[in-house]
Amino acid sequence: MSRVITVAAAQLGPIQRAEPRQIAVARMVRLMERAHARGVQLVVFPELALTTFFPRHYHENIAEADVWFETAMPSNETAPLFDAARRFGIGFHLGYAELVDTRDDRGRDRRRRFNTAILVSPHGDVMLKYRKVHLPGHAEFDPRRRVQHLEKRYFEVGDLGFPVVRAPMGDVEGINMGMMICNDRRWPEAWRVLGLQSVELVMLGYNTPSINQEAGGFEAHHLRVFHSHLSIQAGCYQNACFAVATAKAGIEDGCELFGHSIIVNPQGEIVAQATSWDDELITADCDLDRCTLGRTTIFDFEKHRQPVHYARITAQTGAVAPPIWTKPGGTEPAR
Amino acid sequence: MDSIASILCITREMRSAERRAEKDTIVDADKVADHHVQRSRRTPQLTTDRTLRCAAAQMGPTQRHDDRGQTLDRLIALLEQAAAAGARLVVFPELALTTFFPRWLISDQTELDGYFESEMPSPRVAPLFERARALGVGFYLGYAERDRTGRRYNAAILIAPDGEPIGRYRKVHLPGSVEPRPDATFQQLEKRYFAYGDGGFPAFRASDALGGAVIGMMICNDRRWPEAWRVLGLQGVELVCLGYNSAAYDPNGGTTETAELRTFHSQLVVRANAYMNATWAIATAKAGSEDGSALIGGSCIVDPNGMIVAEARTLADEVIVADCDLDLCRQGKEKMFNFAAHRRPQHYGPITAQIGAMPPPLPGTARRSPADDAEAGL
Repeated sequence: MSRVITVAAAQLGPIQRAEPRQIAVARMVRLMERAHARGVQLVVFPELALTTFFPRHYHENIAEADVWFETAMPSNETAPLFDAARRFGIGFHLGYAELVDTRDDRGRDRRRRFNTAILVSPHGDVMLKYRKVHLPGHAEFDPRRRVQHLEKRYFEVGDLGFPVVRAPMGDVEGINMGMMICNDRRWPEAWRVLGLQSVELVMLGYNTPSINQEAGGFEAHHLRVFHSHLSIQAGCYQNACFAVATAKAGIEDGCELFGHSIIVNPQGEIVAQATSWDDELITADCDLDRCTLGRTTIFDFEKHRQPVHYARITAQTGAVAPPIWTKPGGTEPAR
Repeated sequence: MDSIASILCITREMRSAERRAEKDTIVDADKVADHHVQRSRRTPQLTTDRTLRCAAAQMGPTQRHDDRGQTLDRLIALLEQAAAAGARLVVFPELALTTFFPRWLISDQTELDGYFESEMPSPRVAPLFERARALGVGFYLGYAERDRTGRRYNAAILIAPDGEPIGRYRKVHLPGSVEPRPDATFQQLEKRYFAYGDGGFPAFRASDALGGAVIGMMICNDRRWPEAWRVLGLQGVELVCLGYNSAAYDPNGGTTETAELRTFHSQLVVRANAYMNATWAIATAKAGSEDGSALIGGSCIVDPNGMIVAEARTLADEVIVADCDLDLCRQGKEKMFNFAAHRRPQHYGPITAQIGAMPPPLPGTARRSPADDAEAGL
């Protein structure tokens, strides 16, 4: 039986700070209509797809930022997306800021905030949730930066790991699907934890500035896009999977985000790429059986991985440099 | 569409002036030949004291019946060419002294033993070591090792410019099979001839003669495993040396992979993992038609941004050089890939806890309980 699914990256142009959710949702519903017209069965929207990338804005009182978060999914504002999914029989992936009121072990109220993505079935059911693990940026206002990047202020590190679900999608009975968010794509550990669950399709959204905003750092303009593509292409090849990587792009609140959304095959080849910095749909037919070659030969993990030599990956967090070189036989460090 | 290729073109243009200048240096050096090596070495072109001029010494094929002495002469000639271009570190391929013999099922024990070195340098390799010391050039050399107990490894050694060994490495990720594949023209019997490396992925701090660089080694297939790069990255590696012999077709019998795709994969993994660990990498091929079996070339020197700064153009003996500013690693190590600030090992458990893949349950086979839903954040 054929295991081909038609997927789309539904890139979004910018969402300005004043733009209400209803407008962003209406734009996404239009993209779903176009996806349906093209025979798409699964649509991937970007990270934080309902609002501007608000971690660039500093709120001294974190509670003031709660307006950017969703307390329910679906909500009145996002319900049209779920309706469109049911109407068209299309699954979708959506990134948003998630706010959860919960009780801790001692029964105290606790408000938790995550950078989250969900996978929704064509029937409107949430099949899988992921909360971003690799939060970049910083927690406190940084006066040296022209633009802030406060993900570490507004979000907790995700607590769900990197889950993979095996579920029907399109005409395929069971696809192993996993998710990442933005900066996660640069971390081979994230790809490998998904790969170790036989992931076949990785969905990820991103909001990535086309200029390195960090004070004192220089990165040539063209490297930013290159690094994004390089990480995804290598992640797919090394784990023999497809990926749909979707940008929010363009000039948002005066900051430039690059687009260049891509769909990548298990050979690490780009099979579709966005060329605008606006709302744009790119599609590809993914034959999931093309994951088989890699995972039964060069990346047959069972046959070839050597975890006994990977201990540092889980045993330490930061880098630990080797000792200073000493001349053989000598006791003094070389100067 | 291949964005890496297109961006590479842009970068090539951007770097063209620089590279033309570099090429001129090499051509001049070639012309002046051996007895003028010292002259060109007197004009080092260092921009900072942590800029290290490195070379990849790609080799063309070495046939099964080639004379070992002639192969060593080729290695020495490449070393001299690299030294003449001002290189202080030269990276030779995997199994650089012989043909890639794991492609053959060899029943003649004497022939098989002949591919292995029981000491390094062995007398038949010593002239390379002597020449390197005389030229003041360090090098990485891949070879088949038989240790004192008779165990055999696919190994590499890193030698300082003064001739002292800096470190050794035994290949961890052995590809292929123990038993030959019936009806295959060429085998991949690394799992038959070699034991798995037992020393992990150590990084070494080199002396001032090599800029005090933190250097790590890999061999061939290791480069496709991000775990290997990350273990080196977690030791602050600044320069990864690796040699390879990689088939220009799917060595597992498939017919869907071309030489172009295989070369793309080789460069993709070196570039991505250099970027994700903010390190330089020097990847050196043994290339061309060896024993009738095609090997890819594509040797390259890659910077910590994942950009190729020098690339071999042939499938033959060829030296490429680049000035590697080790301090270029700092941007990545201090920001995007500041591991202490950004890694989350609590979520990496499966990487060390399991070997093979464990797929999620089939739909309908595992009923979720409300507790499972809560666990999954649903």
